[in-house]
Amino acid sequence: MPTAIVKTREELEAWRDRLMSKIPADMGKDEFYDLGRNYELRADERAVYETLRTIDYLLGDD
Amino acid sequence: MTEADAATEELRAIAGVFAEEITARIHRVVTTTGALTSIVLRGNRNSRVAVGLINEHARGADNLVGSFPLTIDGNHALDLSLRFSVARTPQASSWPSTNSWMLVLPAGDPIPLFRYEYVRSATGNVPVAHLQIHAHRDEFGYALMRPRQVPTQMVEGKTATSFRVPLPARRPPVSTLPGRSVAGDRRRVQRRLPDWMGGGGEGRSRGVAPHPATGGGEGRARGRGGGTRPHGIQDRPAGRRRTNRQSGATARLLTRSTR
Repeated sequence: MPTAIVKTREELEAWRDRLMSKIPADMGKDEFYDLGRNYELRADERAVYETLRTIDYLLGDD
Repeated sequence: MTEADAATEELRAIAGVFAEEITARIHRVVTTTGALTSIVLRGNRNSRVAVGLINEHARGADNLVGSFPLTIDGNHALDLSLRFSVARTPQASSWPSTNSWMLVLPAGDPIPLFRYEYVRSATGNVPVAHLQIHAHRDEFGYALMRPRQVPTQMVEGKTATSFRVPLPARRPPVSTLPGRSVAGDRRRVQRRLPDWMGGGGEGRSRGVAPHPATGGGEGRARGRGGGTRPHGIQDRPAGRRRTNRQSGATARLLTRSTR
């Protein structure tokens, strides 16, 4: 993995869409983010949450 | 190459050096695997950069932000997670962190033992730092003293209140924390440090190695003529560097056990 990678906005949005599909069907984005903020997600779910937050920041949606 | 592409390439180079520097700093302190990666958005006007550890999945399609595994006696016991969110400010010629955090979790546990967060402008232009100890029933002490080679008498009586986290007097940036947070009885356990505290590897025992890109060291070398990053990413507010007689003083943790 290189120490710095460049993503286009389209690539980040596509990445975010793929990750959003991993959120449990019975849970909305807001609830998922709330659980993430409160450290109530499993490790695999937390990885998804942190990646989504990272993408949000880069896209200015934080 | 367009002007935007040139700016992106410049930012990628700077962000790469920053990720390398923090990764090297972590590996000097703890025995772990992995490296930080900076993600740069091409052509973004506000020059935002996110720095974290990215797990590269087999197909590379859904890389996820991960953490550094920390081992005790060769067993994966803890996870160290760091994140830096950086953005260039209109006034600054550098990229200070807008927010950053580090947390240490027991492996497989969603709740961190402790976390440290830094926000550059939570209230106006005043930086805010926050140290949160989540430890309950002395998991914190247990995790630190888990290696078998630590004498039993050193484990007995250890509570979260007996650990000290040495902090500078004013809102230390996250990048300075690896290497600062150690058990209060560091002098006594120094010869018996578990591998995740750097006792057997590189780090304190070998002093502070200069960074190849900056020529500077970290930790105790800071302020002794170490290198500077005048135009690079800085995990601290831009502006005049403060000096404080309390720098290096220890902040006693007042967290009480909930047992």
